[in-house]
Amino acid sequence: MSEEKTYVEDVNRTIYDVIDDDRDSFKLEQGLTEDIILQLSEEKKDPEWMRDFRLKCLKMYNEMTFPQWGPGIEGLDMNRIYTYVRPNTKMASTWDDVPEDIKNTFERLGIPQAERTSLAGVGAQYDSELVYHNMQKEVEEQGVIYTDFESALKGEYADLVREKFMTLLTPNDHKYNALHGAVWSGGSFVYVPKGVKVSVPLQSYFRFNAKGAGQFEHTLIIVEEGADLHFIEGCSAPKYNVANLHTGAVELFVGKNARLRYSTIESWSKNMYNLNSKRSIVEEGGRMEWVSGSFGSHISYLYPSTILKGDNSTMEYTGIAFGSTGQDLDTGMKVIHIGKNTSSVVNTKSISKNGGCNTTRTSVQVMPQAKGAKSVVSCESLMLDSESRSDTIPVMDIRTDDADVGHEATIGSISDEAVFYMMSRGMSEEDARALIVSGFADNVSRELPMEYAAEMNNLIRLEMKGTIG
Amino acid sequence: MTAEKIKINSLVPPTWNRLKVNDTTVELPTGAGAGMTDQGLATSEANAADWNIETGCGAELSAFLAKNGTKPVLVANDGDKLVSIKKTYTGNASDILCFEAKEGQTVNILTDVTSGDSTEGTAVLQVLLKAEKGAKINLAQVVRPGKGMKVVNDIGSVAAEGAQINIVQVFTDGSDISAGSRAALEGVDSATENHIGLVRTNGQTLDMNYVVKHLAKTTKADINVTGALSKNAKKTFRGTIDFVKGCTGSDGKENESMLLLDDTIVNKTVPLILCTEETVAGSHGATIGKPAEDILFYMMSRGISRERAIEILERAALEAAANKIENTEAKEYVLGVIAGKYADE
Repeated sequence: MSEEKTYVEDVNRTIYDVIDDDRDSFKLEQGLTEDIILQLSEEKKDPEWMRDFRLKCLKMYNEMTFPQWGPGIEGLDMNRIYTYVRPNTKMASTWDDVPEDIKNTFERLGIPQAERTSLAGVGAQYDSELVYHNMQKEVEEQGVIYTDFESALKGEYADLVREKFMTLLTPNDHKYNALHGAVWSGGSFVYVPKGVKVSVPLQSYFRFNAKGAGQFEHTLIIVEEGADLHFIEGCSAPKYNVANLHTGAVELFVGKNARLRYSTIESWSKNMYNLNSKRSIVEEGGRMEWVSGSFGSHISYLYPSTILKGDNSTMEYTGIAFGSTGQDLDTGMKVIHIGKNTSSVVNTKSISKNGGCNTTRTSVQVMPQAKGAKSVVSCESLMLDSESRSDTIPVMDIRTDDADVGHEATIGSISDEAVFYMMSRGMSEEDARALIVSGFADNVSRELPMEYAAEMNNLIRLEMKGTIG
Repeated sequence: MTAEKIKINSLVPPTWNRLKVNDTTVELPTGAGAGMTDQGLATSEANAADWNIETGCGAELSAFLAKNGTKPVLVANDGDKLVSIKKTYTGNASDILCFEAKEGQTVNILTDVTSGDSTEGTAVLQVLLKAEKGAKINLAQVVRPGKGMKVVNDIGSVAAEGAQINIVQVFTDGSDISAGSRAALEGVDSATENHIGLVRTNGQTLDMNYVVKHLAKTTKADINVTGALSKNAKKTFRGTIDFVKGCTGSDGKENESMLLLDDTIVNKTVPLILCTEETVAGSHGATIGKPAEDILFYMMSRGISRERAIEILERAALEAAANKIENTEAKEYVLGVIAGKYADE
């Protein structure tokens, strides 16, 4: 008897694959030259220091080598990428002022509805620029600043932005940080003053529409001493038959005894090269929480990193990646323990199916001065067929005796014993397997607000069919 | 004598360069003579083409040995009788020793390499193992050269259907040691175990790369590392369990337990699991840190000083590996070496 394998449905991309007509948008020409950078800088009305910074980054980009350790990015030709695409609209603070087609796209993605029900503020970026930005009055009155990055660069917080911009993610870190420094556009700036607790999340949503373009938004969040924030990042794009590129940068500064939760639901199209960088630095007693769901893109390099600088600072990372046909997702995290009595807890999960490739890459570094550091890392991988690939590549670099570091990794398929147990309780084999796979992703959805958990569950809607065995 | 720098112990696939774990560079003397053929071994020339086995240290080392005229020699064995090779190096040396276990046969091998403290040089010992159907090879190794001697200890093995390759290694002394091991589990139901005990101190280094390729159905692998680091010691352990498509029902485990005894050490652990097969079980576990205070307290409450208690734990890490040696004669020898080390101190 032929065996029909457990079937897990691909991500349902119907709502993400709608393409708007971009005939009215403004584009810089394809490629990456000094002239293009100068045009971009002119278009953005950059201060002089930023223009010089861009040019310096371009030089570094040209001098740096491509990464030799991750998925192949030969299909990405910067000469064919539009680094700047501006929609034909200005940033609005009400959805009624957003052009109809763009507004409809965000409506389909559920952004205005989410804003009404569960968010304290929303920034919506469309290609290279924000088209909508708004924050609840009550939150504004608490002194919270949430604005588009360009406004922050020139406004009241210009000096603070300049002081922090690309100091965590420095352009000499790697080639794609240098690229970001050269061509960044859009993004958000968030400042939460000392002691302010923002009880409802803020969200930035990055929507890609232009064919063959790049998106390079910059997110800078400063959470001052004793403050508290949950920030949500969402992203999606329609699928094209040419490469698109996302090289965003996220820099997070978590103050003394502050807490920042940064949640991401990423659903790029399968022609996307997602070469994104995120880094946080945490002061004494501060806490950084990452929640990450990676479901889209053709190639991903994504490893949120945390520097536990202050004594008693902590980090928790919860992430899941779902890799299917045509996807090579290289995801994970990095943490560096510097302060005394710091701790990190990491839970990563991956699901591979239909020829998809997942690589979970992590690093835990404990410096000699990080006395009393504790780190626990758990990596679980689920293989749903033998056409796929799942690799786990952890590194632990421990330089003090006064540390307690644990790591565990497991890889496997759906347990026959678990299926048998559920069947003995009256479930069908099909239902039992569906439940196990759904439960595997549960740790991430539990960490999200309900609306976003629902979106994630939509993204990994798991459908079982057929008889097995 | 000239020397050549080569890269060994390469991580496949590599990871972030800044962590400096993707490979290691060693400087090897060209034209080093054989060091083991004076040990009274019954040997014959091995056909290099028949012994073209991938090793843990990698192809660059094998190519270097071939280029420099180090020829593989087949070491005869007499069934269950221990093949014992104890070598005190007096300078540069380079050997490739091949062992074969015929169908259903068990072969026990012990190697112990040392050198005088004033001896300087670099020795390469490559051991190649082939276990035929239902055969078993038990290899026990002690690597304890003197302060001036660098050692590259490399293993490559192939296991046919139902065959087992069990390797126990104890690294106690020496300045810089590089070690590699690669097992190809080609036959259905074949298995391999690596048990490694290590103690590094006073600036000693140990750079390791252990790889198991699961190439057939229901193969099993178990890699265990126990050890202790102190006083500027550096250790890198790369362990790779590689489930190749078709190895259904296979099981691979890696486990590491390291005691870190001060904050001058560098302990790097890189345990990879690679998988292109659905129905396999792979796992890795690591416990890294200082000795548990409750254990130290218990020992101290019994009148044992803290220093002595730590020494007992260190010795236990070595003995945990040595106790996995199946051959009684080899086990007693290795346990004796460990006892001698701590008696001297």
